Amino acid sequence: MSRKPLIRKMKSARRARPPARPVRNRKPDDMSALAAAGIKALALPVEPSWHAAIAFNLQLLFKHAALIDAFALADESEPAPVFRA
Amino acid sequence: MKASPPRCSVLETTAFDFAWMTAGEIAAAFASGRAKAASIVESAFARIRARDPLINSFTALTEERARLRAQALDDAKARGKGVPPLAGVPFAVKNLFDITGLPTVAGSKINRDFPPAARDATLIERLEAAGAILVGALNMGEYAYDFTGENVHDGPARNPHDLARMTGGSSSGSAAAVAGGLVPFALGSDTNGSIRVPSSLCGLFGLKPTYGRLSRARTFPFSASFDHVGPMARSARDLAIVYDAMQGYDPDDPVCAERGIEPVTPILDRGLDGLRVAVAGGYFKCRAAEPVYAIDRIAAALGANRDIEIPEAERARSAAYIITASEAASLHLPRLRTRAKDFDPATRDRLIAGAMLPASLVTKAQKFRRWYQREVLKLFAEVDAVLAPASPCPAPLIGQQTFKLGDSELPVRANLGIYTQPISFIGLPVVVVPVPQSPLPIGVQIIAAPWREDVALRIAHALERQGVAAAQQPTVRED
Repeated sequence: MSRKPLIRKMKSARRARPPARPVRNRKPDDMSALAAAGIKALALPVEPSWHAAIAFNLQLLFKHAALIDAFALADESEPAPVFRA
Repeated sequence: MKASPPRCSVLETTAFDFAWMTAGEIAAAFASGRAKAASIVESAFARIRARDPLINSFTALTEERARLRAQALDDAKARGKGVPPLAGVPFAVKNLFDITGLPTVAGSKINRDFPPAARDATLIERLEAAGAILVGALNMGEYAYDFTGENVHDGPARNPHDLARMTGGSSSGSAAAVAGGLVPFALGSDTNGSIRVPSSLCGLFGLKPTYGRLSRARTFPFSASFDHVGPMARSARDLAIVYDAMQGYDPDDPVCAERGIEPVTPILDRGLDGLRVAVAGGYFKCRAAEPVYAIDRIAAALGANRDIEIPEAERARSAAYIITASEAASLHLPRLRTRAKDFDPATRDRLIAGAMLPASLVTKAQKFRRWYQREVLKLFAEVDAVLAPASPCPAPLIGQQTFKLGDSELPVRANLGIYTQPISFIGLPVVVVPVPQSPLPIGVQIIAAPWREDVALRIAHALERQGVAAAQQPTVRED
């Protein structure tokens, strides 16, 4: 069936500023190094055979994070969860 | 449409037992005196013993407790006491709900060493107060970090429509038990799609309510920012009855909203009554045949002849992805240090990676979440509900690693929730309706504004009455 598209003009956040240098997709070697450092810093008992899968998942997470990093938000933007005293 | 002819009749039911009766029909049978609670419960356990070896949906049975509960209901009725709305109806819960006397395993090996729960989850207490009878705990993906329904510790729950296929996850046992006719409804949890994906793959009605609507007290968490709980059933009316019984503020869940009970069952028959429905465009324009067929069929039945763009949905999915990874990693970090080898490797490696995400990016994802919520809520000035696919494909084979979506080959485990994540990201209420297709069903999401579960349930009920949405009884092939 054919449906009529509803055109909406999107506004970005008020007084949004572009991110200075957004995170780009990292290379596998970068992720492997980050994974190795993170495993050490967090004192995780990781076996060598797990390392590649952890680095792969880290790369996937940074790929998603790059989309967020590239999105312009105002300095006044509040995170979704707001603590109330 | 009809599924392929059965080569194994083990999952077929007779007209005499309660297997394919709805919760409402079972409650009516009890209330009218046509069935005793004790016989309903024994029938449920007989079905579970006969069929669950095939579909692997239960991880624990609560037989003694259920029999005592049934006897108490029968005795109360004999004394002329009032009959509550779910009296005599058997149900089961995903094994991340606390059940008194059992460890809350949450699909894991590690939690089997936990002490038994001292008290039931709030929702179990509320359902039992409404007369329902808990018969057991259900299989799930480890720690709910799963869309497939596979579990290395308990084995995969199997799709009753085709035992070689996935149920979807992580509420895998909940979907299999309801679709297989073992119980009329079950509870699941949904953080990124864990009620909606298995409802789609197993051909069920599923409700993910507004974030904060139903109490999560005494359930094992996954990602607190997105954790929801809700029912899966074989009719929209059952969803409404069960949902009504579970509503209400609960101080034991800090997220639970201080709202009164807003019953839906009494207004379910109002029909569409001028409700404005649009179809999600852009990111949600699925290129696979089965979801497109399902959306078109539902849209035609509702007269939904306009598309609407949910802004930045792909980015919303990414933000949900990284917040989930970070919060789940924070939750499990102590266990990753002490018992890493006892995790499912597929869960463990993602959790470890999540522990390394910079806080700056996770915080920005939470800021984006607020921006996205504000933009999406504007859409509800123009429409009352939005339709979107519930899954990008029907049930994949168990063990299948990738699936085709348009020209792309995508990993199954990470991508079955691509259409559900941008919605739960801001806690909108959704009802999944099953659209029968051959050989496998698939679901459509009906997405409403916050706190308007009534809108989504009314639409689902109207579609069911039109015969467009239906939970079909499986005719299982033994391949």
